[in-house]
Amino acid sequence: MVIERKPAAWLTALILLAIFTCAGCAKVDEQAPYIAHEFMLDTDIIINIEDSRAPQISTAVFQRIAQIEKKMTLFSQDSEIAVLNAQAGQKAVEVSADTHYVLTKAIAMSKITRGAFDPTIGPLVKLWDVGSGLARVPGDAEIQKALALVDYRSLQINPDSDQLHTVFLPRLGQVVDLGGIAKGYSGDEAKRILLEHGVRQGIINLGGNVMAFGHKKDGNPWRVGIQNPLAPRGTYLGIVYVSDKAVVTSGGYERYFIKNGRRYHHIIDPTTGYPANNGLISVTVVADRGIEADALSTGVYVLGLTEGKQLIDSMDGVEAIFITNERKVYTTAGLKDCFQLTDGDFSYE
Amino acid sequence: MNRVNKLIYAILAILIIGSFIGVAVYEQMLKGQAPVAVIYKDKQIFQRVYLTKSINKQINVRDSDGHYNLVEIKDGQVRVKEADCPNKLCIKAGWLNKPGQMAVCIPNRVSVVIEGAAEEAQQPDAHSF
Repeated sequence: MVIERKPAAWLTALILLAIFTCAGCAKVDEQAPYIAHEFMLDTDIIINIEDSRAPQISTAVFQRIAQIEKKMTLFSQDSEIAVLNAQAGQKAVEVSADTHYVLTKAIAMSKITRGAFDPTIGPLVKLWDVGSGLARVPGDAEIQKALALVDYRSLQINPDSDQLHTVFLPRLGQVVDLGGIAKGYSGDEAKRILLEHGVRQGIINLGGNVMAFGHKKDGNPWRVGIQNPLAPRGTYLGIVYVSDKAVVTSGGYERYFIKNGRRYHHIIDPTTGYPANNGLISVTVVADRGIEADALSTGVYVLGLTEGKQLIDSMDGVEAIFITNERKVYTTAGLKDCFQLTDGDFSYE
Repeated sequence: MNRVNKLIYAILAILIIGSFIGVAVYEQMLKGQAPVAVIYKDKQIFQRVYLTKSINKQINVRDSDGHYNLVEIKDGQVRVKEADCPNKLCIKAGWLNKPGQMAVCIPNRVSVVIEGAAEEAQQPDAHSF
């Protein structure tokens, strides 16, 4: 019996090809996108990564965020920040390295924004209580009283070189609120943990506070939609193309209440004591670090277009998108080629 | 040519023909990702319906003033079947079945737009708000 070589060779080649193709399929399948959801930091957190161990890795990230929340929340009496506030005007308290770092960074961002972002805003936030459903417009005397307690310069933090991390709020009634920065820090920490586990790309979305790290699998930058502040959530007015950046938006369009026909939103100007009213309806900051993007988006929203844009222009590696209440969209120079306005109701200046 | 070689040729032929069929089936599956008819009322999404052959239904888009547009979905197509607007332009648009096609009723602020796989792919990877 003679087997001709030609057909046998073809058959072998074809079978090998099939095997390799299937092997390729299996590998792709294993790296299917994975999406994990948790409610933390008073918001919806989504992790979107591709890795064969994605469920375990996501759990590690959520555990880390839970740790941060436990230390910094105002919704519990025994968080480090709650204890710091309870001891205001009495004594310095010892805090973890995490809290020490975030407070130090918060003060640095306050200096950069000349107080437009201020972690000691607590008394005013409590007074206005926007989003609680019980909100009312406080009287001017109450506002002035709360305003007198707001001053980031008064917060005493010992230097990082010391063995113990201690912090002191010198005046009775002072309240630190890290609501404008803790999510950004959590995004940075989430990214760090993902990198430690060998994940090279993915998206962590902390309630609209986006950490887009690495780039898309096809090598292109991530496409991050920017909320249209005048439309329901999920409607975007443009897309920013980024790799390895935090994208954080602040605006008064989601959390607000209306009284006597006037709208009062949740971003309080630490210099006036009233909701910021400088012509902007939203600001998006794009930066390497979430902690900076988070604090800056609040600060720049308070500063308004002219001063805010000047500030961002002066910073290296930080860009921003400004949306005014006249539906005009401004971007800093670095975003000219990576921002695309898609909604015709707005004009790009 | 002996029997073994015939057998090998037969297997070869089956594999080659089989692979062509496989590719065809795969392509058909991709096409099977049916386009979506999106009905908008007052600039907001009222309803999304997949345009697969098996879906036959009528959707009445009615507002508080009693104005209405009756949208019909049948055989993978969509149209505005009836409306109380004065000029009936939305009805005149006829059956829609390709991505990008639309029927608009300006007086009642209703539109029907077909989105395809291409539009879906244009969705951003994340959303900052």
